[in-house]
Amino acid sequence: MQIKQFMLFVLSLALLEVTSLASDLKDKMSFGINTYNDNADVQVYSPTFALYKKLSSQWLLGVKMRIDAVTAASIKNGSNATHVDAVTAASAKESVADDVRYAPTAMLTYDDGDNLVTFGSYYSTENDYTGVAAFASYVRQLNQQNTALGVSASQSFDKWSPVFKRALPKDNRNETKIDFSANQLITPEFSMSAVYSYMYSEGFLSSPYHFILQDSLAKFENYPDKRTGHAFALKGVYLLDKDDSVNFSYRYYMDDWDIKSHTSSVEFMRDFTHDFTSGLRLRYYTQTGSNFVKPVGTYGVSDQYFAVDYRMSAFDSYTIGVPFIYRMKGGDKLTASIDYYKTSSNEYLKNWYDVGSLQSVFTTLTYEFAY
Amino acid sequence: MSFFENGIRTAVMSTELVIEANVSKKVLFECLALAKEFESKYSAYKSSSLLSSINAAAGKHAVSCTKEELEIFEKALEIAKLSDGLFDPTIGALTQGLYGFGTNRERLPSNAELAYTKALVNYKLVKISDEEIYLPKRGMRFDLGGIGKGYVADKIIEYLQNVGATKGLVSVGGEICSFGREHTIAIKNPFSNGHIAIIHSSKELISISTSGDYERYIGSKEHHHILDNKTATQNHYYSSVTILKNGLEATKLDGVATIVFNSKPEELNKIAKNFEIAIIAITPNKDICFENFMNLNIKNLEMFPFTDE
Repeated sequence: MQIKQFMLFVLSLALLEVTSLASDLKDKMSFGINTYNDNADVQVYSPTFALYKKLSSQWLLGVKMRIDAVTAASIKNGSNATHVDAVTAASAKESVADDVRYAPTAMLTYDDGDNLVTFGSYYSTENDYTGVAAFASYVRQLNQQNTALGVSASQSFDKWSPVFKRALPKDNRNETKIDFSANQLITPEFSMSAVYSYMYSEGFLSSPYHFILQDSLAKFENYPDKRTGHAFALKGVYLLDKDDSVNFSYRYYMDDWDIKSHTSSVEFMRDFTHDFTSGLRLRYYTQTGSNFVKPVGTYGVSDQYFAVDYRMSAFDSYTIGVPFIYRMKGGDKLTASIDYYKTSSNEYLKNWYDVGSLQSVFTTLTYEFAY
Repeated sequence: MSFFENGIRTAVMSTELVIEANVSKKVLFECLALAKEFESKYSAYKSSSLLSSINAAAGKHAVSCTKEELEIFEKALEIAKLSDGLFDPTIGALTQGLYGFGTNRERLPSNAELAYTKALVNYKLVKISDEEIYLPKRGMRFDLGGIGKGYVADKIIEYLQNVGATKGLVSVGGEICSFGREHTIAIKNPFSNGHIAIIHSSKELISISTSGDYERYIGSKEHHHILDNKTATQNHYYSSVTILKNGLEATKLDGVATIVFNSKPEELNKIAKNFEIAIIAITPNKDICFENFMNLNIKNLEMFPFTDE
């Protein structure tokens, strides 16, 4: 898995968490550890820390820190070889992290009951990639808080610096994302929300390390330098009874690279005891290939674009997971989850990672408490 | 114009691969593909690899292989024979099976386990023909970690020279070959992050290999990963040994470094002459032993004195 994409996924979760802070203005702190392991030899171990400090009855300051220790079969740290061509040494322990990424986030939230405003910034740095982003969101509660309309936007300014001195056509990667959302409580047991997302990326959008090697051709992966996408999502929460609830969602995505995807997910949650909630979640994803992807081994010298990443090709995936929530005395909360992800068979995965399908397990564990 | 300024530096076989050569980027990619192909065939950590199939078939049946696939086993057995078993590629029963080095089940085995498993390490039992290979006892395992990186370095240099490269440097996890131009190669300090020596190579082909106790161990260096297969435990004569030899010899050097690591200082002179190698061995007390540096393809060697660390 391309680690940059994994991090973008993580960032998208961080932004979701911002909007979920509505009406939850209190001093709290959390510590956690997330892990990701897949059969393409990528492992990510991520300790997390978050601190939320109430500045007044309506203002909340949030600071988050995430560290990702990555071992990957993609690219490794360039050694500090400025004055030597190579270093002879004993075989290194194989679990040493290839890259460590530090990602602090700061945010400020205003909530007066009817209006929720959040804005903040995000920074990340790793061996070959630096990310800077700003984000803001506004949610307006209407109709005695039975209706919520929201808008959020984020803009990132990222920069590549490959570990070997490859001259990239561009070294930047900028992404704009704007969401419009509407949430309606339809009955006391049922609420629905609709979200439209606009996404625009520009710059160097492929990996600087992936390459194609055929009999008469050797090319680095190369994608168009602009991408515009639109997504429509419907999400619902239905309380089945006092102990059981169902979350479900559907998302349709399309972009000007001709990738179209459908994502369906459902999550059943049950309060087994007053303190303990758990459940089961399923997610199915399917997408078409981009308009420049070709079968492996069929690219020609006259082609403008070359794909190596399987996410440029058509594939399906499913995820099955189990979340846990344990509420302790005094309001402390322990949340955990484990998910299993598997893609369909894919020749691009076979070609680059030598696996028929990508399979991964990711886990989360977070302890949260008020202070 | 070369696409890279400094060649390619990437990760393969759970280690760093560096290739510099006056060739096109296509050739560099082909070299990288060679390393990836080796990993997919000979990784002990991939259940689908040829090596895993051979290990899984131990005591059951022989595994069919092509002549090319058998080459590394033949080279490993040749070094084992030359060293009278001081290097033994069937040490996998101990290194991976018992100690679990490189896996998430690393542990220190009991004396009884060591005594039992030691009997599974014997290269003389391996049955190899032009078409198949067989480990005759259940539980026997090949571990090619002792020569795999050197073998890949040799293969890449051969490939580069076959396509016309006149100068190049290949490093596979610190197993290094250099030719065609002078290169500056550092030897890692086994006690800190710096370097203990700098080798300035000449333009002639030279191979360099290092083994040490400071990177991979269970708990402490006391239990490092370079086992003496006679005792199934660790020796502590050295913290680091670096072996140099003229020519394309990384495979052999990779294996011989293990032999040197498990030999007493008074035996180094004889080993150096037998294998026609130069040796720099650093003891845990920071004493440095040099052997056989005559006629080596290097311009000079700079040593940096140890400071209090």
